[in-house]
Amino acid sequence: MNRRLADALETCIKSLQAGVTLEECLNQYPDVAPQLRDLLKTVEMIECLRVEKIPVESMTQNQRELLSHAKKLVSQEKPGKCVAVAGRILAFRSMIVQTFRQAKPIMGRLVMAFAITGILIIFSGSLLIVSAKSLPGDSLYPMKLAVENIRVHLAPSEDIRSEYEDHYSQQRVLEVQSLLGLGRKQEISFEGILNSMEDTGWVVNGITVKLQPETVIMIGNNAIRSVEPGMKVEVDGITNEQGWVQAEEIHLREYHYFGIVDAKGIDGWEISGINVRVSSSTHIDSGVQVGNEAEVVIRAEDNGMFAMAILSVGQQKPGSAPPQSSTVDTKASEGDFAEDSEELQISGKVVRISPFSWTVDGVDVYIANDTHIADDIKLGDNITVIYEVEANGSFTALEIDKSRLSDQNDDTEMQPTPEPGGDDEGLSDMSDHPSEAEETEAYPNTPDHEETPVPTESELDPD
Amino acid sequence: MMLTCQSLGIYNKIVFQQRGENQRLMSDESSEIDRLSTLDPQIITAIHDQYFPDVYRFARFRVDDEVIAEDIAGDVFVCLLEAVHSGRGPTTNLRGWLLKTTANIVNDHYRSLYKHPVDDSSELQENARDLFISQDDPARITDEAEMRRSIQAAMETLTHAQKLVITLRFGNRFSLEETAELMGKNINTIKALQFRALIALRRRIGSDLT
Repeated sequence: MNRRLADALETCIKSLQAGVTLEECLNQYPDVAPQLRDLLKTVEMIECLRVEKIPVESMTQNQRELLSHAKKLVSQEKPGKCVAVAGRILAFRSMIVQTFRQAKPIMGRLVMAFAITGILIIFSGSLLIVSAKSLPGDSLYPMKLAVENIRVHLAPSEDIRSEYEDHYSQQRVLEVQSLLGLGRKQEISFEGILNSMEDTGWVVNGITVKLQPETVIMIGNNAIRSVEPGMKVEVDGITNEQGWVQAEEIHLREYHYFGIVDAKGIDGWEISGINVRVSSSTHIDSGVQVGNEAEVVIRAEDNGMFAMAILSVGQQKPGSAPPQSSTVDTKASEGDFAEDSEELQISGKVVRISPFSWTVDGVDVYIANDTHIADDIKLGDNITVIYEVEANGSFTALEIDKSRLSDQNDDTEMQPTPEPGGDDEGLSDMSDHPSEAEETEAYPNTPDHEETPVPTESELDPD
Repeated sequence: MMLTCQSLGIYNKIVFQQRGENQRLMSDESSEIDRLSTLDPQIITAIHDQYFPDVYRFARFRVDDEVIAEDIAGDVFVCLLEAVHSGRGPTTNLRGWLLKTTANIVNDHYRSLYKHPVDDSSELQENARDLFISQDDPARITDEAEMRRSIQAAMETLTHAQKLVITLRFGNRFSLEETAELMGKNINTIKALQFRALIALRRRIGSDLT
């Protein structure tokens, strides 16, 4: 902007409005007269739009209508409390805005922008913190779920996403336990391992779930005949004051089955007539071909079945079983259970102890009524678990003892039981295992238990 | 009618005082706003009579139709009552609030015109009526009407702030200082806005109308 011209323009506008002629104005500024002339002519033209006369009749009419409108407003109900509070907040806001604008327009806006941003950050941060402690039924609970969903979606890798999902799945279980502790009645949904199925109720991740006649059990796979302990299920139901969950729907979520590979595709395989989706994260044993028998570890979602792993039956090892042991061998019948079950042992650090299962370095082992557990075992101890593989693929502990290898070897060992050999007798005195007679008494349902080997001499004393 | 004429006289007196005693009028406005919240008919009448001319002149400057300008002025005061009744009314600067509301309603009027263009026959009828009742030269009346329309069309091409400055300065004849106060800006900003607006208008309408 030409400052001299702008100043001259302002002076001339004032002079013109005071009745001075255009030429007289221009004579005062001969150096900018040509430009000034154009602008002042424009001003003269614009001023043609101005009206001096006010339509008095219209004004009177307007005034009358306004008074009648005011009367209507007065006769209306007074605004509610919320409206009044909102009005006061808005009035306060506009007062602050006006104050800042009057003081210093640019600074006022900057300060206001920072203040609003700060308030928003503090407010949203506080909300997130408070919502993290909310339970189902609380007003902030949807926000907690939304934040969790965002974190899962924004996870930088598949591994981290799966970690988040596991963590939030455990959160749901803890929330249900909290609700039961508080005796609150609330609709809930959680996933967990089916620990037991009694007539009085099922136990899922330590939570008692009672089935009603109208409870729907969704299996969704023809290869699975029934739900069995060790499978992962989702329970939709209602918590109650008595401390259990009344199930409305139970969905089978994770399990495994054996079948013949009918067809292989990029996105999906057909195994024993069942279509399963595969992705880059699906573990597929290299030897599995069409016509082979395979073990499929399934994660069932509402939109279909996703194969977490497709394993060649001949190559299967206990260590390759899914960590949650949520598998079931549908071909294993009651009759061949005894023949199929085998005793194994695992050594490692105990990271979780619950009444139903223990976790030894990521491997869940279920506790039976007759499991022999040594005293004084606490979290972090190195232990040895002698266990057997159930027909459904889960591991049941037969004996849990403090590991004497802990000083020499901290690594987890999970190995198949070696073939019975003559060393057993020689080492029997060095082990803490009960005698054969005691073992038979302690594990009446495990006829092969007496063949469970104990660590070899070289393992016990590497030097 | 008598009352209105008297009120207009009071208005002129107040305007005169405003030019010289801004501070005192600021506090007067605050007390007016406080009393307006009671929706007392006397206060409403006084405020209406005091500010109607400013509001009407603003609207008429921007709209080339007397009846529409009157309607807009009426709507502005209805808005004021409703805002005050719901607690969202002005807190300090009543005149500024009224004129900004007028600008918004005028903008809404033009927006609705762009969405639903009106047949020019209404304008022609209005011109015809003016020609019939006026004793002036019909050619001159038509030329003036055409010029007004051209200037107003050019005005609509300006930015919102430029339009506001031009209207307040030339439609309402507010000083640079008053315009700055009403718009919440400093005087140099207003001067720059006015300068740029006049250059833009000159570029658009200058050659046709000199």
